[in-house]
Amino acid sequence: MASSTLRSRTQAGEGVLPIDTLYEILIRLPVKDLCRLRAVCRPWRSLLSDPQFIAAHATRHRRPLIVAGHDKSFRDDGILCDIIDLSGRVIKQIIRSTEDEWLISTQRNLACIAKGTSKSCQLLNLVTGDRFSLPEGLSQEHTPRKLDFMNYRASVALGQVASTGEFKLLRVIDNAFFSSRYMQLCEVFTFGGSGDARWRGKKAAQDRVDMSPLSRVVIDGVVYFLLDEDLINRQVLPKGIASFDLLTEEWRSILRGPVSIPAYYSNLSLAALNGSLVLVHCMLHVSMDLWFLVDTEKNLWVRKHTVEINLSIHDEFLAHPLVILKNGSIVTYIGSRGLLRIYNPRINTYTDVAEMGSRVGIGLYTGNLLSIANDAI
Amino acid sequence: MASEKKVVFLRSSDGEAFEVSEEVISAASVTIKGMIDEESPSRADTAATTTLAIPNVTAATLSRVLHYVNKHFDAAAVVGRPDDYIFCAPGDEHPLARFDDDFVDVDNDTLIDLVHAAEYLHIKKLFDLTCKAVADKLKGRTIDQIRETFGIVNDYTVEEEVEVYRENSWAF
Repeated sequence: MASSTLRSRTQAGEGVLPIDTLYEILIRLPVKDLCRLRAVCRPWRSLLSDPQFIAAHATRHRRPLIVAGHDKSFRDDGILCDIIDLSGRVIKQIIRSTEDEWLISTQRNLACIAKGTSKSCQLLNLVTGDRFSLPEGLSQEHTPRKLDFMNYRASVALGQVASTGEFKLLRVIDNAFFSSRYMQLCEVFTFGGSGDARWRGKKAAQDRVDMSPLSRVVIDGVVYFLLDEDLINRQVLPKGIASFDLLTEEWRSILRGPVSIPAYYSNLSLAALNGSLVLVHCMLHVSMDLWFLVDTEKNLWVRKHTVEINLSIHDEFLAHPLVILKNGSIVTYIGSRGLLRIYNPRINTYTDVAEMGSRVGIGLYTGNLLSIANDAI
Repeated sequence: MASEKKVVFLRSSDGEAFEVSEEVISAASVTIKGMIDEESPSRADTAATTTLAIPNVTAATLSRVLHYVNKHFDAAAVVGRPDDYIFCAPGDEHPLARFDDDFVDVDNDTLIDLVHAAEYLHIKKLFDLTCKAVADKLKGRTIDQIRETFGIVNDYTVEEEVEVYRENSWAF
């Protein structure tokens, strides 16, 4: 009998399945099941912790996870952020280390978190739970300006330089709260680099950048900001976009968006979808246009998607796309209730997969969950 | 005659012979196609039929495999897209999805024999189907049930076991 010959091949702990067959079976399971199955026996655990297996599994199961940061005033259970899958299931929770910290953004397996008005930041490794605190205070180059910047806020972007693999942070800080003469400063920090670990002052952007989180996005080591142009300009000129190259640490020339938009009935934000810069244009609670930058040199934009968003008035017109799936569905973050909604533009339907509540930051986790150990308990 | 369908015989490990269309089995099994290609120079005489020994597969398993192969690879019987239906969304099912569900709704030993047969005969679709079915069996079971089902001895020390559960507690 085939099964008895199989059993005679069996080694201690291995059971009826030889390890190479087991590999083929286990690689078809989702991460959560695999972590549970590590408890079966030693050979299963070593297979399921093997970097080669983990890498092969990740290639086969390309499913982005959403990192949803929570606002302490709406949710006071000590959770900094949930990592959830596209069916809305919470895969992992990360607890706060201090009262007033919140999630800014994510990049691969790192999350950038801030305290209070984002003057002090930490990088959190979502896999290991390790935290790295960035230096507080202004850079040496900017300390003479201290009086102007007694109370400042920062817009912080975390990105990875493609050619070197280095993670860098860019922050634009302004004195909007208390000073009369509005100014913006720009500083860069290199994480894990060999150089001196400090914020380094850089030339500010030539025009004011918009400080709000959804007006900023990082793609391939370039940080993009919507410009904070006044309303009169916005009605005439297409929206301007500033960009900072994390490799050369210089601002590039201003891009012009595809449309000029009267501010009172529409909302603009920036997104990174399929590796492209996307200008998101929401018209009231009715529709969302996604304009893809297809040629930076020629400043060429193409409207690839128009989604009927069907928001209720209470959702404050905010819809922001997070990722486009292979089948064309658009995973979108909606409004003040923090809905995770997946639109299927082809058949004009949608599914709400989770209600995350009011949040302060949202990002994607594209690192590997199989290597995650639980630090929530 | 050229138009006549050629057949081959497959002999199982326990000596039973099964007839199958050469065209169908060649499309399904990389292993058997290889065997037939090797044989062909000596098969100038079309009247002779070939018998291939399949030493790793029992009659019980082989007859199941051929049932699957005839359903999936006989061009006359197949409707719709032949590949990649396993991962389709609900409501977008392949016409044979129901057949496949029933096909793998068998006891463990039978299923694992099918995994090994599909692997040996190199029938990718069947291998995918049966591996997925074993994976699905793992999903709904406790660690103890899995050990029992697959004849696995728990080789952890108490300390190690505590450690494994702690490290992966989010998954339980």
